[in-house]
Amino acid sequence: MLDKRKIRLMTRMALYEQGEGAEDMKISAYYKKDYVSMKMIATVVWTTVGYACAMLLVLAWGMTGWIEELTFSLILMLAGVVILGYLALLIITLIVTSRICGSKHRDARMRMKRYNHGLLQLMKMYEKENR
Amino acid sequence: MENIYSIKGQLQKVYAAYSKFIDKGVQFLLALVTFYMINHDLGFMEILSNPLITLGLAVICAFLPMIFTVLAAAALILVQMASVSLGIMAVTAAVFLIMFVFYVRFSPRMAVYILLTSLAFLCHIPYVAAVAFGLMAGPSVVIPLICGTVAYYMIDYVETSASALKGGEEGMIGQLMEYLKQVFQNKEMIVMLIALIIVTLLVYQLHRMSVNHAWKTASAAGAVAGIVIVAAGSAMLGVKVSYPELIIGSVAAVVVGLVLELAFFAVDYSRTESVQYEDDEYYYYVKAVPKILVAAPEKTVKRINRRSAGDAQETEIIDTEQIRRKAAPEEDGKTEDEAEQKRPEAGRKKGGHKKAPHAKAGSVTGSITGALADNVDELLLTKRLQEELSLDGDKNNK
Repeated sequence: MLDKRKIRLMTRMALYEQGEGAEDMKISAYYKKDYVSMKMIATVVWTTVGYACAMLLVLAWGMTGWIEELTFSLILMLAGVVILGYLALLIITLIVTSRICGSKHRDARMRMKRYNHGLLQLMKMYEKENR
Repeated sequence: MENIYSIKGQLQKVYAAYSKFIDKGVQFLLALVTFYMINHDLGFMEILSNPLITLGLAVICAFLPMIFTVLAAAALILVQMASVSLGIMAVTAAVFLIMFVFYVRFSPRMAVYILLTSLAFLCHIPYVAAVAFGLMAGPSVVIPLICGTVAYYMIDYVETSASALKGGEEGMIGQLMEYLKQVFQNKEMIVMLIALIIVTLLVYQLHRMSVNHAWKTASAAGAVAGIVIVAAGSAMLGVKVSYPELIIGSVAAVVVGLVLELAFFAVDYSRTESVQYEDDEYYYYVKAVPKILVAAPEKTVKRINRRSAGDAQETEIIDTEQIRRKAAPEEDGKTEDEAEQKRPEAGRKKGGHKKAPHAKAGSVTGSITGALADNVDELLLTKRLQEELSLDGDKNNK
């Protein structure tokens, strides 16, 4: 005899496993602090690369004329602006990363808890059947 | 109108049944159209421009997550640009990398909007993207809209000045600088960016308003706003704009808006209800608009004459003419016998009438009706026999 409740539960769990469950399992393998720290390190690397690319583009665009007119003091000021811009961007991206990754980890944990609860229910059902 | 909703219901049923295949089909079509458009505009590398390669790439992308289609499109653009100039390819790669680092990495699911925006530009209907995104997504869709627009103008520049870039003697640095200048100081791009951002935000705000026909109003207002901003911007910055293209694009945007409303926001404003109530802290003014729910008609084929297998085997086409001809000689011999057989039958009927209650009573009316009935029976029998005989006679004559 088919148990409708069990089928529903198993279907829901299988759908979760095949969908966002795979990523959730990876995320929830870390502690929240570790996960966020790891993502923040990646963000530092990527932001540096992105900022360098952007600066290269600005530099290349500056070669069209205006860069030749720069004086030493202006170059120093520009360098300061570039560094400050980099730091500001880094801080913003790090804040965004910590917020996004923190909530991502929390949501993943919550879904995993629900999934684990489903597994327990399923186990109880099997135990009941075997009696 | 009810037919349209009925068709919608049927389509929903079909989608529910075959969603896996339909999703893959849509993904394949999107990838195919994207790669085709890229190769059409930037077909500098012959091997990649081969339709078979395009088809194969689209098939591969159909089986992978959507982000791979976006990445494949970016890679295709870079490779095509590399055949024109390495400097241009480097700049384009840097721009794509910035997009990836600061946006796509955080929300990979939104990357498809970048693709759709570029695709809408390649099809010369950018307002369709703005109106559709305003209706279907939130205001954060503005970022992929900007990315898609920049990507398109990079493609457009390379397409229009490919021959100059290839044959130019400026060198890689010179090409790179010219490319940057042409792309990022492109007044047309700036006008389009402003127009698309305003249209998207306007459509988003209007379609959420608590007014009747909000989606239609939002689509129409977005299209009109697009035309006005582009016209004003082109007049102010001296940008050449193709007005027929602008108007056709805006009309297409309104049509797409209507289709999206039909698909995702089918409500019946004539049955709107307003409710007002309060609790300890607030007064509530609630407007409830019922959804239009038309169930798809279920076609059931009812068999009136259900035949069993045995009946079906017995069914055959009968040539009545042939049977009559065969029967004709036999009938001639049998008619007398049949007449003989039918006479006693008539006699039995006669007797039956005699046994009728009113006849038994011996009344005058009873005897008269009995006699009349006998005569009628005899007359009918005679007539029938005559008809049969004359018919047979005719057949024999023929």
